[in-house]
Amino acid sequence: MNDLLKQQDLVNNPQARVPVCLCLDISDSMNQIVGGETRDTGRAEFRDGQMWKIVEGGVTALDEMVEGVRSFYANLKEDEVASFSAEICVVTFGGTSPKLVMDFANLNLQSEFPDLTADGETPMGEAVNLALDCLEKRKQEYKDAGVDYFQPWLVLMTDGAPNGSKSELERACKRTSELANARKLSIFPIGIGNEADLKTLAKFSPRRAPLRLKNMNFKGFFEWLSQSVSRTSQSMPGEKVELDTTKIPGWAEL
Amino acid sequence: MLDQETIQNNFLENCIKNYKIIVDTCSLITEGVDKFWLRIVPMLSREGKSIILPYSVYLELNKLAAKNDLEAIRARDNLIRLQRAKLIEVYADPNDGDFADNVILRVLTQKRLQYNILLITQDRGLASEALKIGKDNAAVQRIKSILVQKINKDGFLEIFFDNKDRKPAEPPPDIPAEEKFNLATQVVNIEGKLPVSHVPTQDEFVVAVKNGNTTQIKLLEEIGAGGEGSVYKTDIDGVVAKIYKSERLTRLRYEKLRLMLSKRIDCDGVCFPLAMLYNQRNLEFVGYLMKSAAGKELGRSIFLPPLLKKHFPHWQKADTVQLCVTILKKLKYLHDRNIILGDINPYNILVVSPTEIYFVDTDSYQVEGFICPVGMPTFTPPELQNKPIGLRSFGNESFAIATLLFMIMLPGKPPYAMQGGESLSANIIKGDFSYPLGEKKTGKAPMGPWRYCWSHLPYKIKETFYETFRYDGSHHAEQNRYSTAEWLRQFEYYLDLLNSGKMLAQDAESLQLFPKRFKKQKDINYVKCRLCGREVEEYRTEQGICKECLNDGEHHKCARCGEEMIYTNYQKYIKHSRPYELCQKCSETVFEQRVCPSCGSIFSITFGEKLYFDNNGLVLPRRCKNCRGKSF
Repeated sequence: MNDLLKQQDLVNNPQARVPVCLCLDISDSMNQIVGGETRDTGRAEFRDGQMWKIVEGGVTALDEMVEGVRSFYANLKEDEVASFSAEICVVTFGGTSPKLVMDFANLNLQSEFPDLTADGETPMGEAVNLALDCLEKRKQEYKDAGVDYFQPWLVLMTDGAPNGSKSELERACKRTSELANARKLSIFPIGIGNEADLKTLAKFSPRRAPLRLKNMNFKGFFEWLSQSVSRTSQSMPGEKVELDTTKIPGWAEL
Repeated sequence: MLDQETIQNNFLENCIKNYKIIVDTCSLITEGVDKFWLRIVPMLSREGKSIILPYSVYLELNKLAAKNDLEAIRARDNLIRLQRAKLIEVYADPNDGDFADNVILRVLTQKRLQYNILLITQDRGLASEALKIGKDNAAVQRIKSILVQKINKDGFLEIFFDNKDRKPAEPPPDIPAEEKFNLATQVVNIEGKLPVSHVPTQDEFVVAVKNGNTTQIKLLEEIGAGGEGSVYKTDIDGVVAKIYKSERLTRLRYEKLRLMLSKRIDCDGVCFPLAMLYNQRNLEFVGYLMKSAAGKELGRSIFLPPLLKKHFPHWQKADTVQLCVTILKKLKYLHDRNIILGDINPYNILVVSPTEIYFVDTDSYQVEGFICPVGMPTFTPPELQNKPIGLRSFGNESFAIATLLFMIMLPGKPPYAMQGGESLSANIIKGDFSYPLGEKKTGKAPMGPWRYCWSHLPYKIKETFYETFRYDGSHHAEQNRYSTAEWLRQFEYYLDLLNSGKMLAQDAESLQLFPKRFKKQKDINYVKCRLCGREVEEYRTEQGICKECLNDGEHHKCARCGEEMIYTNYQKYIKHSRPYELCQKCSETVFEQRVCPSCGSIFSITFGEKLYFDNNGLVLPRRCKNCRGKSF
């Protein structure tokens, strides 16, 4: 019956939509400890392309990221206008294949953001393709219903390098580049930590260079993102959004 | 079109259901009164309603009857019969005098907040007094309305002040030179910043200067902050101060404000600059003084249906139409003085009530060669799309006004949103307006309630929008667009149609902000939905419930993931099923995997299945589906 509510929102809500795709790395390496107290178990394992020391306790990069996404949702829901215009889809990549965690809908009609578990590989190309497919589907739904929308956003976050199918990766880079060059997509490629492969990230984004997240400051990044989305939803479609770049140094290493 | 008889009957029925009806002496002895009773009495008995008769009206009839006035005698005897049948209710107040007019006006004043009232009288004077009371009401929060009608010789009710009586469009008023700006043909360009040693904040003093008079003013608490600066309360009641950030204190801004202050601009609700503000230390320019505003931004109330319902729960169509009239009057005031707003948008108009609104951010208005440097694409006409901002014309502005009015009539929906559309800007340039006018249609109007909202607009209003927005429309080109005065005339006419009961007579659904169907048509059967009570097409109902109500219902959350769900009236009343506790996704999610002891295969039990077993007091099955029920 939730589908009915979503259909009703699609046609009854007059607000122009801001579709945002979050493409998030949840490969095994996101289990790396980035804070908190830990106890060494004395074991070590090879996972996701590297040797890791196994510890107990602590806060992982994944924990920080999930908390950041939750605050992103919370901030947007607090803004009356943004909560009617922002629509978020979340695709994760870990294990062996990407997963659609949240599909586009009015924020208040989506379920709570779930807990994520990190494991496996980094099928980044596959994930970006899945996110773009969801985006195309949503755009078609907007067109069919007669709903205005802003240029969609794609946030791509990884702490490593893609190790999925090469052809999928190439296809994904081609698709995002074409959309970005036609100004039909704004891409924000974000590297997490020092291992993130910014060179590959750059291939997705011909118009905006990748940024590296400073000190695992997911909170800072998502705060900036929600403010930017809020500003977009209060102007009207077609308007060129001026991103508040003065705030970027708070979370990025330029 | 519906015939006169059907229209009148619809109107009477709607009035009987929704209004208290009061009748005046003179109407009881008028020529068509018998036909009127013949029409209304069966309706009254059917609905179990009655008409209110002030006791003093009865006394007046009695007096006339005593003078052997035959009409009065017949009327009085009629009333006595009607009272026995409980179809009239005599209203008496011990404090009432004998003069019926006064009694009626007092009843109107006392009851107007509680009830919609229909006054039937033949007396023009009483009618106009009664309508005045109705208009006072609008100043509070319009919830109930007062209708005034007379009985014509055919026994039909009709309005007093018909459009025929309306004055033609007024000639442009003569505005004295001290209120009027010139029209410029060239953009004023002044470079450079002004030096400022200190930008004052809360609890500091500033110096206000107007026409050479200076006053010290204290800044109190900050009530808002934005990209340009902050707004503070001041120690003058109802007056606030805008103080710019130091980097925004340019010579251009200073000269523009000086020009704005050189004319006498005084319009209720327009927060125009009142005086220049300087810091106390060096008397450097820091901002300006203006009247304070109140209310909710259009974009955060009227333009988002759930917020519209939250902030203005009792509003009907007449309220949004009145809101348009109020906005247009202020726009006309400014245009008459050659002030062009430039950046008309839903975030710089604040709404308190349909008759109380505030225009803010007035320092961006275009005056003479000082342009308005901002704008939003939705409100930007095709000829200016994707172009740098320069001087705007009245024609440019008219497009923005038409868009704003459209988005108040179809709450929040931009005029060019359409099925199969391109980007918003491309759609505006293309001018492929998708809403129909008579036979002219593209079939691409958006899904949802928007077509219904459009359908219920009066033809004249639709035509005005259509001719403005459609690329081949007669008023689409910049120089041909309708003036603010013309829009005002149109919306005053619309308001008349609503307030006079004419729209009600045609179709009660036209009074709703969100009608549930298209305007009534001749060859379609309408029935009352048993849930919402509104008249809908019979073929769109199931067991007496309309489609909208069937899809509506109680909202609740999935017991597992918290996703919002709806228990629809269709499930409740048609299928008689219980609400789902889990959303479909959770219902299909695996709760547990087990190994079947009979065949050794692994099988899953979903959360949906678990719920079923739990609810029926059953233990979870040990065997897989194939092996269940088989004997081993």
